[in-house]
Amino acid sequence: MNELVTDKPAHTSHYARAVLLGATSIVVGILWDISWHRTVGRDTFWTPAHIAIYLGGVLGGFTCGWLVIRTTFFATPEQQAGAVSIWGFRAPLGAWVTIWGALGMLTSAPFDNWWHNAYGLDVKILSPPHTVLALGMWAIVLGALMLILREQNLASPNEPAPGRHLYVYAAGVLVLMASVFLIEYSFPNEQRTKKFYQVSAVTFPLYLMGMARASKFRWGATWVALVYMGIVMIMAWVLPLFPGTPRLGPIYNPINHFVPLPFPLLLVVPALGIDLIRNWIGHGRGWQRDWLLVVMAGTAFLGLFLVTQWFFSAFLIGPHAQNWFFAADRHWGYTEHPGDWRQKFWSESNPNWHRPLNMKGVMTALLLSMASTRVGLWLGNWMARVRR
Amino acid sequence: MNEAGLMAGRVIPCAPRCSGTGPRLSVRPAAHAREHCQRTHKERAVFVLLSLLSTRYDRSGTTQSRSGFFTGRGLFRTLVSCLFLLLPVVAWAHVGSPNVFFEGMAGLYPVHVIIRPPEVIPGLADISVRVEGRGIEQVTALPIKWNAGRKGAPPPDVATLVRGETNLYTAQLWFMESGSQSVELEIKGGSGTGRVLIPVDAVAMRVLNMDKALATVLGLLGVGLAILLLSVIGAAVRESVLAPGEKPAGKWGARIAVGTSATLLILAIWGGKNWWDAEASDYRNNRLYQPMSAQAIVRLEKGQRILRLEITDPRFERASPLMPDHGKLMHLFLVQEPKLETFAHLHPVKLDRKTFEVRLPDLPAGQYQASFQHSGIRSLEFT
Repeated sequence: MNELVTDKPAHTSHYARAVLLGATSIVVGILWDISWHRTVGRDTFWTPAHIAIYLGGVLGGFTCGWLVIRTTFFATPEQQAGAVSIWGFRAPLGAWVTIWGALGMLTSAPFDNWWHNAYGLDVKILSPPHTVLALGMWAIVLGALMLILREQNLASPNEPAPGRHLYVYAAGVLVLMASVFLIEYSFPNEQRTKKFYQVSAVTFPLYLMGMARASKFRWGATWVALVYMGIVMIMAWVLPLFPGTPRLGPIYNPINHFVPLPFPLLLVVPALGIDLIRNWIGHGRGWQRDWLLVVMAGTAFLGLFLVTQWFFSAFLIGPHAQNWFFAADRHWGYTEHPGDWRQKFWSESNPNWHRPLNMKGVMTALLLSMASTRVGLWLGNWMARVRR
Repeated sequence: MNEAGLMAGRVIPCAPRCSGTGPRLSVRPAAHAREHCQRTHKERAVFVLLSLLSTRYDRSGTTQSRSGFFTGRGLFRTLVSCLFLLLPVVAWAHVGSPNVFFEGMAGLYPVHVIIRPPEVIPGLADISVRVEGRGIEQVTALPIKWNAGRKGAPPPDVATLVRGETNLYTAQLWFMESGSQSVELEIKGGSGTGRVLIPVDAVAMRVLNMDKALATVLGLLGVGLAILLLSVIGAAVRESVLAPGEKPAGKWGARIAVGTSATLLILAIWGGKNWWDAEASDYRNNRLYQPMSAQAIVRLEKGQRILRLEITDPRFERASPLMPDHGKLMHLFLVQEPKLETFAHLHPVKLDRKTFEVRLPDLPAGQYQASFQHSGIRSLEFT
C-alpha cells in the first residue's frame, strides 16, 4: 500500500483484534445465513451460520464487558485517562459501541421470535426485528473499528500507526454490512431502477469518504472498497463448493450447492474516483476544501457508480457471467422460479414495481450522493481525531 | 319446506368431519358454516350424552321416581349427569378448529391422522399419526404444494414414535406458502410400503397480539438501549477526541448532540412503528385469511329455484384451484336467519372458474346466510 506514514510493523491490542475477529465472524455468518436460507431453507437456532453470528456477538460483548471492568476497576490512572466515562464506568469508546451492539442483538432475539409467530418465518430479510439485529451487528463491527481507530490515532505522526491495515479491513467489513442492508434493492436485475441508485447514493459515499478521511492511506477509499469486494467474492467462490439441498418446499429451483450472494458491486471504481479527487485537492482540512470535495466527490461517485453498474449489471444478467467467477447462474435460491425473468432488468419487465431510473431520479440521487459525502466528511473528520 | 324437510335439514352433517363411518376427511369449513357447525355439534353432543344417561338408567333396571333424582344415589347420578352435560361446552372449543382429521388406509395400514396446520405462513404444522398394524419400521411425512408437485417437494420428514406409545408417531412440517397443499404419509413395515395423500389448506388464520410480559421485557430492553445509545453519543462528543488525561472543556456540545440524537431517535422509533403498522396491515390485508367477495342470485326456472353463485373477488383469479373435498368442488351451506332454524348443505356445480349453480331444495322463503369455501354471503333472500 502507498502509505502516508513510514511502513513499520504495527501492533494493535489483543482485545481490539478479538472484537475484530468477532466482527469477521458476524459478517461471514450473515453471508452464510443468507445462503443457508436460500439453499437449505430449514432454520434452527443452532445452524452453523447462526453460531458464527452468535460467536461474534459473544466475543465482542464479553471482550468489551471485560474491558469496561478492567479499565474501571483494575487499570492505572493513565489507562483510565485514555477512556471515556459512562455512568461512572470507563472504557474506550469502541467498547461501549460494541456493548450496545451485543445488547441490540440480544434484544432482537425475543422480538424476532415473536415476529415469526405473528407473521410467519422470515418473509422478508428486512423486518423491524431484523433491523434491530442488523443494527446490533453493525454496531459490533463499528465498535471494532473504533477500538482500532483509537490505537491508530494515538500514534505520533512520525511512527507507523498501529492497526492502520486492520482499520481498512474493518471499514471494508462495515461497508459490507451496509451492502447487506441494501441487498433487496441491489440484485443485478434491479440495477436500472431509481431506488437502487438512490439508496446506493445515500449509503456508499458516506462510508467511502468517511472511512477514507480517517484512514492513513492515500488510497483509503479504494482499499476499503476492495476489502468489501474481496470478502463478497471469496464467499461467492467458496459457498458453491459445498453441497447443499433444500429441506423445505416447494422447490421451484432444484439446487445442489450453497447459493452465494450476487457478485459484489464494483465499488472500487467510484472509490478510486473519490481517492483521485482527494489526492488532487489535498488531504488538509478546511470548510472550503471540504465543500469542494462534497460537490466533486459526490458527483464523481454517482457518475462513476452509475456508468459502471449500468453496464456491468447487463453483463451479469447475460450469458457470459454464468461461470464460477461471476456466479450469475448460481445465486438463485430454491424458491425462485426458473425463467427468462432472471435475464431481464426488472425495471423493464415490471416497471410498476421496479421504477426505472430517469433524469429526475438521477438528479435526486446526485443530491443524495452529495449529502451523503458531506455527512461522511463530518464523521471522517471526527473519526480522524478519536483518541479514546 | 314441510316439517320432515326441516328435520332432515337439521340432521344433515354440517361439515364432513361430522360424518360417520368409513374413510373420513375433513377440511376447515368456511367461517360462517363453522359457526353453525359448532351449534349443531353441540346439540348432537347433548343429545348423545342424554341418550347415554337414559340408557344407563335403563340398564340399571331402577325405576326412577321424580323425587328419586334428588335423593341418595339419584342425587349422585343427577350431579354426575350435570357434570357430563357440561362436557359438550368443553368439546365445543375444538369443533371448528382448522385441524384436519383423517381416518383411512395407507396401503395396507389403517391410519388415524390429525394435522394441525400452522396458524401463520410460513410456519410449522404438527402431525400425529396412529398406525394400526404390526412391524411398523418408519413413518414419514412430506408436504407437497399443488403447483410444485412431488418434483418440487423437499425430502420427507421422519416421524418419531411418541414416548410411551407403541403406534403413535409425530412430526412437524414446514408450510412455506399459503394455498392448497397435501401431506403425503408413507408407512414402511411388515406389510410393505403404504402411502396416502391428505389435502390440507394452508392459510394464515391468526392475529397474534404481544402479551404484556413480553411487551414489558422488550420495552425495558428498548429503553435501556436508547439510554445507553444516548450516553455513548454524549461520551463520544464530550471525550472521545481528547488526549488521554485531558479534561472536557464544556458540556454544552455533548448536551446538544444528545438532544439532537434523542430527537432523531424518536423520529426513528416513530418510523419503526409506522413500518411495523404497515407490515401488520400487509399481513391482515394480504396474507391473513379473508372471505372473498361473491354474488348470489336466485332465479325461477320452470318452477324450480336455481341459485347462481359468482365469486367476484379479484384474488380468486390468482388463487390456487379449488380442490375436491368428499368428491365435491363446493360445499354450500344455507342457514335461515335470524333464528337459524333451517339449514341445507348443497353442492353447486361449476359452470366456469368462478361461477357455480345449484337447484335449491324446497326451503321456506326468507333471508339466508350462504357459506362456502373462501366466502360467505350474509343476505341471500328469496321468496
